Amino acid sequence: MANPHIHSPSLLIRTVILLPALLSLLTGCGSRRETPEIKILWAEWRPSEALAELGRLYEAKSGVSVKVVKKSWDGAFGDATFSEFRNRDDNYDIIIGDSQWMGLGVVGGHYLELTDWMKENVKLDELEPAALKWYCEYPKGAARYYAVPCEADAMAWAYRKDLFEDPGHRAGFARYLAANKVSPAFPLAPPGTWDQLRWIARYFKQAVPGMAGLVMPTSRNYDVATMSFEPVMWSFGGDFGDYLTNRVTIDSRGTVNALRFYADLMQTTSAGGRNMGYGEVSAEYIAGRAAMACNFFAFFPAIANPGNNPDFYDKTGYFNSPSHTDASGASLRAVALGGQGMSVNAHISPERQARAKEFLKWFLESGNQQLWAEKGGFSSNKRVLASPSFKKAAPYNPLFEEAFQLMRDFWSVPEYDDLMKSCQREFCAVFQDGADPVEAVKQIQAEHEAILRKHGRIQ
Amino acid sequence: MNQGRGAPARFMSESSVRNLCIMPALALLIAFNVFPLLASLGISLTDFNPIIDTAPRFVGMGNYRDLVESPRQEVWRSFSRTGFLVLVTVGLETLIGFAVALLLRRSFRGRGLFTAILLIPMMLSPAVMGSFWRYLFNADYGALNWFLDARLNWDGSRALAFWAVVIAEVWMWTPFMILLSLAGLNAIPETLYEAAEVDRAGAWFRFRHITLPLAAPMVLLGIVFRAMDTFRLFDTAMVLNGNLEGQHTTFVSVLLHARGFGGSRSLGEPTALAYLLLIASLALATLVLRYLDHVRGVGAPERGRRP
Repeated sequence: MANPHIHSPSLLIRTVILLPALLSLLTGCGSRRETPEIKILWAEWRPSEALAELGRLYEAKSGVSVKVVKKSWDGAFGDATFSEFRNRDDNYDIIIGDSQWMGLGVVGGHYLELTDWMKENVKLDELEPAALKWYCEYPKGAARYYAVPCEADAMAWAYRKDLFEDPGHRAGFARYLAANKVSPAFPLAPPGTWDQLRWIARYFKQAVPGMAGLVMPTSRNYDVATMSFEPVMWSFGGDFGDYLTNRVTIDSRGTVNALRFYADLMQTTSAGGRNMGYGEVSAEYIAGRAAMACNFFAFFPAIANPGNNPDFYDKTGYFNSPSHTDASGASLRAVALGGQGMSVNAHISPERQARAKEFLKWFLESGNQQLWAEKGGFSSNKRVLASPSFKKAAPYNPLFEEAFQLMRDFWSVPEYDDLMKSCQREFCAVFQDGADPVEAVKQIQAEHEAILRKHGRIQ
Repeated sequence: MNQGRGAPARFMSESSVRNLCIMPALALLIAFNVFPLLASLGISLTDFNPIIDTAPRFVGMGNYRDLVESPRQEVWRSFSRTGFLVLVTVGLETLIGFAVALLLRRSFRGRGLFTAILLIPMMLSPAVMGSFWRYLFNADYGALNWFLDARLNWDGSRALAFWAVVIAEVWMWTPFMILLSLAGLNAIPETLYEAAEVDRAGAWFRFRHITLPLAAPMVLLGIVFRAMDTFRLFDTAMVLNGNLEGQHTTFVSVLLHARGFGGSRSLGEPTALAYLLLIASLALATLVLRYLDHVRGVGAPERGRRP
């Protein structure tokens, strides 16, 4: 029985006591255990959707939810990553950064070193060596790893099979070669050399009114023009430098010849083809205004998709970058690397780091890499790349294994952005405004050396 | 009568109360203006890079020297390019704006509606306007090339990219000059023209000796505003051509953005550039203020004179 001398608390006091409890019940604070979560920072595009789908499978298996935060390629992705670096933030457990950002992540202490962990937990022999080198290692050749391969990518070409296989164009092309005294003549087919590619592009430019022979990523923005120039430069014997010793070697005959050749290729593109972004290249090809289009593999699903490309999705073939044979008879071939590795944020707690590493380990298992490829991601797993199911999944997939053997990349030192800006400015000046290639290459050499010297990368 | 006797003793003197009232504003000014200004001056003398976790190193005037000696004289070029843009853009806006205002000054049917329509571009956001122009300038499917029946590479050629910015800016801001010119023209007393007509003054004489001098103060005010606004132009150039270095659209503000938010660079160099821009802006503002004072001095008796 209640003591009649003890007054029951007033309504106000009861409200004050009960309200927080009621609110906490409603919001779930204090009573619900939070599901452990892995937050991943990446760009907004199709592969990040595929990763989110894989993340749901991982959550079902492990109980750890995976949230992929997607930021637009148009600056927001870079801004978010560099903000995370600058503030030493722990907003994200995993960062899927561009291959060129590796130096910033490593030298700045933002990426966790994974060398020993990978040796114990990852079957390294299952991975393409090129993927380990370009997506995971810093500095190149040092055998120290700070990422695992995530989305592999490379540059290749799409071409209009209907035009190439058209008997009228085949005959016309043969006449065109004969008229220009090209010897030896070659058929209208995916080109084996850069010179053949140029003749094909020239032919379509003059034979089909309103059609460009080719479109390539040539924009002055970020790294665009440099990426599409790289395969030409490497095939002609040019190079940026030695990534282990940081010796700059861009001022060479090979680079100058490649730049001249590239500027000549631009004669065969469309009116706007000298300043085109990756998306614009695909749009121009899909609109039927180009016979050939150079782009990253990651943009090919849009070309092969009947929904996006109803007119030409089934009339498109693909080929890897051609080679170039120099005067001595040596043949060189290379493709520009795209894609990203997956790094663990060094600023999160050891417990979160362990959780993130568990996800990386699961992601790299062969079965999950197969799933990754099925969902549209590009795997670095040798077995997946060689599997018939992968090769049949998309018309461009059979090229990918070969592309891996030809991949090369830009500098990944922390000063990559300064180095890139110099290349973008000088390369574009040559093929957009007719600047002298010799002078442009000399300028880049001097600037690159000054930048690397200023930051102590070379003496 | 001694008014001071019997008055309550003051707790604080008048000057103390005044100082106390000023203090919050002063504290805010120091916290948000003076301190950042001094801190950034300090940063401009170091190689501070927050992404690379190393202690900032004092480099003295190194960042300023690097800017002066920047490859291809990019910094100086961006200043001269911006100056040229101000000259061309504001010049065209003034000429077209004043000419249209002269036409609009005449009374005709639907003048109000016509004037309102002419002012629309000025009311749009520069970013939205830039996006429209980007499509219009597109070399392959842009309406401008279709209209001109040409294949001009507006965004691919660096020289044309500069003129694309000029066209977009003139289109957007000429209405502003129309508005100010119209205000200046409407303020001219009609009696002056009537007197000139009595004296049989010709059209050119009336324009040269009545219209131009009396509308000038207002037009000059518009020129000053537009010159300052164009000097710090960023949005239109950014939307049309990105924040790129070494282009014909790399104006000072664009270069500052490219260097400050371009990824791996240290903060020292962009901060030093911001200081150069600050000095240039202060110099320009001082010149403008002096000029306005001069115009005010010259214009006042003119306006006060009666025919």
